Amino acid sequence: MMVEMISFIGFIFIFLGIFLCFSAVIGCFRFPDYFCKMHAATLGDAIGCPLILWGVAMQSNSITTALKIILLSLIILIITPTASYLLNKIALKSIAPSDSEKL
Amino acid sequence: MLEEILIYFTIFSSFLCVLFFIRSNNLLVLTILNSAFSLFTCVMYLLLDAPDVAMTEAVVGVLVTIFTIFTIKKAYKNNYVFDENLNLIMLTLTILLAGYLIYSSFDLSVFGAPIFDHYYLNNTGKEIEIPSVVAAILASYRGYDTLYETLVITIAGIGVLLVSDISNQQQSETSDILSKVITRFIFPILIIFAFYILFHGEISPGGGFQAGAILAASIIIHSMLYEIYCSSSYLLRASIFGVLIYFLVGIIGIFSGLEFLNYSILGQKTSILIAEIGIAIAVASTMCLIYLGIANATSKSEL
Repeated sequence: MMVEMISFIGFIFIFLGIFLCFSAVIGCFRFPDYFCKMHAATLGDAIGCPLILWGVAMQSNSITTALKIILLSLIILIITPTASYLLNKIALKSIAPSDSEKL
Repeated sequence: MLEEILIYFTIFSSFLCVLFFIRSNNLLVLTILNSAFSLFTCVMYLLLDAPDVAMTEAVVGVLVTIFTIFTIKKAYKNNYVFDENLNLIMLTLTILLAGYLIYSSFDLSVFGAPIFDHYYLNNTGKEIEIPSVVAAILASYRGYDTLYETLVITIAGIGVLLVSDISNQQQSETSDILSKVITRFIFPILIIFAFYILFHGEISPGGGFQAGAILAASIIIHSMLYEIYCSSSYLLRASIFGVLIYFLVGIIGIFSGLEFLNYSILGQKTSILIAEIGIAIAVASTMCLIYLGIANATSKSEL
């Protein structure tokens, strides 16, 4: 009963993660300027991927596999916001405010 | 079925990358396309059950991207745009090379065809006594090839040292707090991962080349943000020292009256492990040497 419960929660997590990734892709195409697109991409990477990974970890059979997947998701949670922060900082520095419509 | 669809998807995507590669004339765009191509080939290797090659492709893709971006920053201050005129000699050479590659691809076995020669798959467990067939072929059956591949990598490092003028000039640290803190947090994890790959080379995918590349990538990331006090001559000595370790493993066989690279004195498993450690040292220090040679003249304060 407990195992089935956990695997069902994992299914919900995977579904949520896929939904977030999909909306991130739509946002990358539909949003008007660079920073909005960056927001969408970071959302998909920073929340969508860990949600999918947690779901997979809940559905996996062995506990070592689940622990490895959770470690991986922690690294993604740390690295992705840093990368998007650096990209946004460089974009803010390198582009004059008057040019922001061209992006 | 799904796996085949994914394999064809990755092949198609890398083909698209090549098409855009031909169309584009901006060096930065070409760098991004190159890393996208590397990503798709990496996924393709993983789908084709070659995780060793996929790991190497992933790390080398990252390193090549870093090297290319630093070269662009150093060589061209503004966006470099290619000459519109075609270079006829290069075009002929490229077409000839492509034709030769396509011609020789007819000799490859059909995708998914059964393997008839099972020698390595059958005898690795008995002769080498390690589970990973790839590591056994790399370090024991084809020990000569791997030894001289390591030597070639060291020679590449010497070539970069000759071409570039590496002076020990001081570079200022970046003022960006967040990336420094995150790098300080990530750096030990990367080092542990590199050693995990190095020492589990006989059991799981991985080995000396992959571990050395990951080690070099972590050191390069660290040195992009903090000041680095490493002389290039020490790196070159470390690289030669790595090759020397591999040679010594082979020479032990000669001194005990057997052939060069005969592992039966120390035992296959120990010898393979020592050889992989030598490969890792050589690859890591050569990659750091190439990074130093390319990046030393650019300033870090822009990040």
